[in-house]
Amino acid sequence: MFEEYQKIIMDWVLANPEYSVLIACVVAFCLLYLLRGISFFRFFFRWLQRLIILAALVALGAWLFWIGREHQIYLDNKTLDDYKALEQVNVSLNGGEIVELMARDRDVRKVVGPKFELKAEVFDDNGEIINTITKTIEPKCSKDIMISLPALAGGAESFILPSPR
Amino acid sequence: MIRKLFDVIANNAVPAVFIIISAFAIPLSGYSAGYLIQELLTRIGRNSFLILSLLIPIMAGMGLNFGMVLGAMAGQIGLLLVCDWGVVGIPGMVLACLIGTPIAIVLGLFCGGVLNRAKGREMVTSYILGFFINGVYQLVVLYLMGWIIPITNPAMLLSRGYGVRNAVSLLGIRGVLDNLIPAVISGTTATQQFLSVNGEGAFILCQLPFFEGSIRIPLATLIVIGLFCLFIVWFRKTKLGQDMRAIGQSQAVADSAGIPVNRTRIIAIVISTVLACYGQIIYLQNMGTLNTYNSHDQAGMFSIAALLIGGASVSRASIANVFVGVILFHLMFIVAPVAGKNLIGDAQIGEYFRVFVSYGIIAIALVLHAWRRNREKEAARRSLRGNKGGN
Amino acid sequence: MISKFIQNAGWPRIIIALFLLGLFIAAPFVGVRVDTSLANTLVRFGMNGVMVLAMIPMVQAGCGLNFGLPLGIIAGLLGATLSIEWNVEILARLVEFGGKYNLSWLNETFVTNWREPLGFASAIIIAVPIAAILGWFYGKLLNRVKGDEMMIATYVGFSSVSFMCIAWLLLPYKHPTMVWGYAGKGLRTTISVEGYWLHVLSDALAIDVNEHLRIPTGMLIFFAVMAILVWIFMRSKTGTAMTAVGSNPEFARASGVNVDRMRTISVVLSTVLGAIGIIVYEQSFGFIQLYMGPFYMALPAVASILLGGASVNKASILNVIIGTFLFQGILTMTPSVINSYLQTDMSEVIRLIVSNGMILYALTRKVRAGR
Repeated sequence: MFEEYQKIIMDWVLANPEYSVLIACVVAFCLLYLLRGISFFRFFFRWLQRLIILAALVALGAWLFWIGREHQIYLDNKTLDDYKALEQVNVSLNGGEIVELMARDRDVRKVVGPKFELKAEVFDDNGEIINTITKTIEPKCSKDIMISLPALAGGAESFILPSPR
Repeated sequence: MIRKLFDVIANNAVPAVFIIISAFAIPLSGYSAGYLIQELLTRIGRNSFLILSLLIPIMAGMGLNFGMVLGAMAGQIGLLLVCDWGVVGIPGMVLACLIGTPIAIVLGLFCGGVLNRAKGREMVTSYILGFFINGVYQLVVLYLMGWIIPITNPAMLLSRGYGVRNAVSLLGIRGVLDNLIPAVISGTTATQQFLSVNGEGAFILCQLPFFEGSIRIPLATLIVIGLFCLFIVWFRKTKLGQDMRAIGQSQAVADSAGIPVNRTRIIAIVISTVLACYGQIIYLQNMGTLNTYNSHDQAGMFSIAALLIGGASVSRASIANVFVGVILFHLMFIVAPVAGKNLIGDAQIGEYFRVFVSYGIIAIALVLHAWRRNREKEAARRSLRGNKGGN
Repeated sequence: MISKFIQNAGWPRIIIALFLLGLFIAAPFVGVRVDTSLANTLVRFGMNGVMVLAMIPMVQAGCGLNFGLPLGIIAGLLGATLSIEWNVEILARLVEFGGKYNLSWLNETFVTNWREPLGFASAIIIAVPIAAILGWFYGKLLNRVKGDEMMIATYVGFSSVSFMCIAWLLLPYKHPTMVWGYAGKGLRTTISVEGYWLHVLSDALAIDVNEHLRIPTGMLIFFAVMAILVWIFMRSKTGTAMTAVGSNPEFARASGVNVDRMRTISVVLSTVLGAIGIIVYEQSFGFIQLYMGPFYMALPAVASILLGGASVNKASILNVIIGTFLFQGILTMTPSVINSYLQTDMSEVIRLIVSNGMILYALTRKVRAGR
């Protein structure tokens, strides 16, 4: 009899982990309330206050992590599948200094924040600009990424590659 | 009257001696005024916050909080994690504070609990506690980091794959607070060159006629320190602050007045530990490198020595003591090795001299404090006896 | 019965003793020879024993734990370095002295044969008066700061060490094995005592049980003699008065004991023992460590005696023996056993945690008992 219930409960817990965490919190909360023996509203608001402060701090931490994260951006000018390496391409990240990449070059720059603006000027053999690309890229939380410039210039969807390291 | 005069001299003897030493050592070192002012400003920004964190336990009558190294360690753990995650700039610093705070609170609670069990010898206990927690800190940083606590940046780890290296470069947050608001004091000449060389849009705070070149001012750091001073002034007036001062006067009286003595003492230590944590983060953002295994040790000793040199005693310290202390202590710090070299021809002597002074000044301050307290006790006893005899 | 034993011994002590026992049991399984470890423990016991012994007088006289041990150590270092500096002169003077007073045994051959023990003895003879003088001032200082002795002792130790750092550079030592070669002045950071009095006690009467286990009998006998001397002293009239001062100063004063004098004597004794202790340590270790070397040397000694069951105001010879053995046992066993198990050197961290944890325990305990 008891074991049957136990099994049913365990199955439900395993099937619905998020609800069971919630229920566990509520149960713990009620137990604490019973133990403290003060007015319900005072107790409730005290804990609510603490939870909100805690949540706010965690959120602040997450936000700081989000905006302050430094990413290493590998700029890659090598032939990738069908996209051939470009003759010369000048890249600047967030309007910063210009990185000149000849064919089969690879370089790395650092940027801070969840997204950055990439500006690339593609040159042909004669040193004429044939294409200018401006794109906002979001590395989000992944620490290091590699951008394949030939793929970007060729208009491919997946020009973001995993970091070579 | 004579007693009073003696007290005035005794209270200010230490700063006076240091002013005299500096007065001799500065010309010997041959540094220019501009250089000295620049260095002092940097060091005020670097160290004041750490030293200010010592004030609250003194207020609560717990003596010099040698346990502030606990807070420093918490700050360093925060910085190590932030450095590993690659969070840079002001967000990185704030995040390090955010991580360090809970660690510092837990350590502060522990420290306060231990000190409540060792009333009357808080200082030696907190001192040994610093060593003890240092052992735990080393256990965490040297064995658990990179093993249980994930550290992904191989540049931070020892070659064996776990444990943090002795020196960690904090390039990402180096000087971020100091340079947040770039500002200079310009002297008579070379201002334009200086500004163009540094290439920043630093605004000129004021022009002073008596030196050459320019001085950078860590304005944002100084503002943070100023805010913190205001916090301490405000805190003294709060109920909690008043309670602490009452406990500092007499625990028995405070207890009979219904102040929860042990609880208040723990709060004092927790506040001090958390502030020391922030102080260490500010200190290290200025330094730019974290000496994983000895930055915190030095923080404790130098802060306490500086506070005492500023004329504070074990039972009484003010904000003014902090700044006088920082200036005098670090003036000696900058000047002593060069002065030693120019005087005797050996820089090592100046180096040892300043270590000696740091320790010696703490020893003398402690002796003076204990001596005075014992004399007062003796005097009280004698007057009691005298009254009885009179009756 | 058992619970009473536990209460008497205290939890930390039992945990540490069991930990050490566990290490000895585990040793053979990780390929560490028990006899080698035992030999190392014995050597370290002999090396550190006298310095731990130095704690007893001050603890008994109520001056607390002698965190100012570096002061005594400095006296010992002065004695050690001077004995090397003046080695030749001292031996020559001895022969001269023998000739003057017709002591036929005190001649050239005797001095040559007994060069090393005589050097060692001269180190102690030079160190003891220096230690006594320093200890006297130190004792006077501690009498003025009753109640805060430990903190002040710590910083007296630190400042004297850093003061001597300057002195080691400036004192006019000339001996070529001791000063920096290129400058011709200023003492080196470590000075070898080889050729002077290396292992004079360790090798005297040493018994080789097998190739791994060598008992440093001479050093142990020296420790035993010092221990017995302290024991006798603590039972003499002065010694009992000292204990009385420690356990109840008001009562001692009422019964006509000069409290301050007793405390000063205890501090002098403690400092002298510290000076002798470091010389014993150096003859076994083989090097004189100057400059920042003695800086933290008080902590292991303090931890040892506390580990042996002493408290902040009560200590006995037995505490010294048990404590030193346990502490040094852990120091020798952890690196060897844990290293071969985990492939890392955790001994430093364990030493920090054990020694300071022990001191912390002792500092927080007495107050609770007193309430």
